Amino acid sequence: MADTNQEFGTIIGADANFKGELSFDSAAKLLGKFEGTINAKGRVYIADGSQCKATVKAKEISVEGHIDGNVEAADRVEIKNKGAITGDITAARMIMAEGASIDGHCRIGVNGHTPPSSSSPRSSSFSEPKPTSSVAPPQPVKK
Amino acid sequence: MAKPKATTTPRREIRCYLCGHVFDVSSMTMSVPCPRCNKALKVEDVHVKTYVPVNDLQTCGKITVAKNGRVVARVIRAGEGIDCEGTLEGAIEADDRVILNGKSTWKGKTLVTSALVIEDGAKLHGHVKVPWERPIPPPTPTTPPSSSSTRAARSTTEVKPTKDESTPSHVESPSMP
Repeated sequence: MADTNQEFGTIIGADANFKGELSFDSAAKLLGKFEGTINAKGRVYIADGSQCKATVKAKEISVEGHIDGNVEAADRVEIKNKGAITGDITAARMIMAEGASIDGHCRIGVNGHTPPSSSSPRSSSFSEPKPTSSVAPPQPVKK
Repeated sequence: MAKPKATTTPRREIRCYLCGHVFDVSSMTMSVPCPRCNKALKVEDVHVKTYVPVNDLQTCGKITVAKNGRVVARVIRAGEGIDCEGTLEGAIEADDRVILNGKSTWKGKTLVTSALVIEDGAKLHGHVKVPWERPIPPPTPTTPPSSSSTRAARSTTEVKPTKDESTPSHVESPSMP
């Protein structure tokens, strides 16, 4: 993954301490501390060593630092080996490396898109096992 | 006259998935009673290639679920991890790495393991706690210290749907057919 700063239109530096709501259309990189809410239409990158105590909603979320809050990605969540998420994760796709840590409810790949956060806990895409019966239904008796 | 050669069977260290007791067994062992809780333990690796609805699927070895394999259980316990290309339904406890491949699916109440690898395309639904370590039981004075073990090729089985009633009450009921 190219982590060059030119890729990110918004960068919160390593010495920054941000509290509040952050919204943007392109990509953002978090190096410092953030507390609040992140709403993005593009990509969010939580760098190694950064602390994010927030609800994060974006199209694509990459995590190498620590997120304490719910994460919702329209496309995918990628957790690197140093990444950690404490909170619920909702995404269409997720990639998790060995060594990463999660503590929360995961809802990944259900219906192939991101369901609303207040949806019911039952999934529709996970089909219940149907009974397999080799017994044919009773036929009407012909007279 | 030549002396008969002393054969040394390779040993492996296993942990009882019911009481947590650690002890040594031969690498050829397929099942063994736990010296502490006296419950029968499956030691061999498990390969699942078809639909397997069971109450409990538990082994001290590794569970491998093939592409067309599907396990529906209240609890799935593996001492040496899980490699899944198919479908798993039920609570998962693994002492080693769990790998969910790109076309795999897991649905259950909890997934707790020491390490988890999720490939792109895998589907998950449930509470995940990683890393996790099985609680170590308090030492008993009669238990000898476990020695280091060597690993060797072990026997494996392909599981058939069976009934096992030794499930603790905290695990969920599966969506049985």
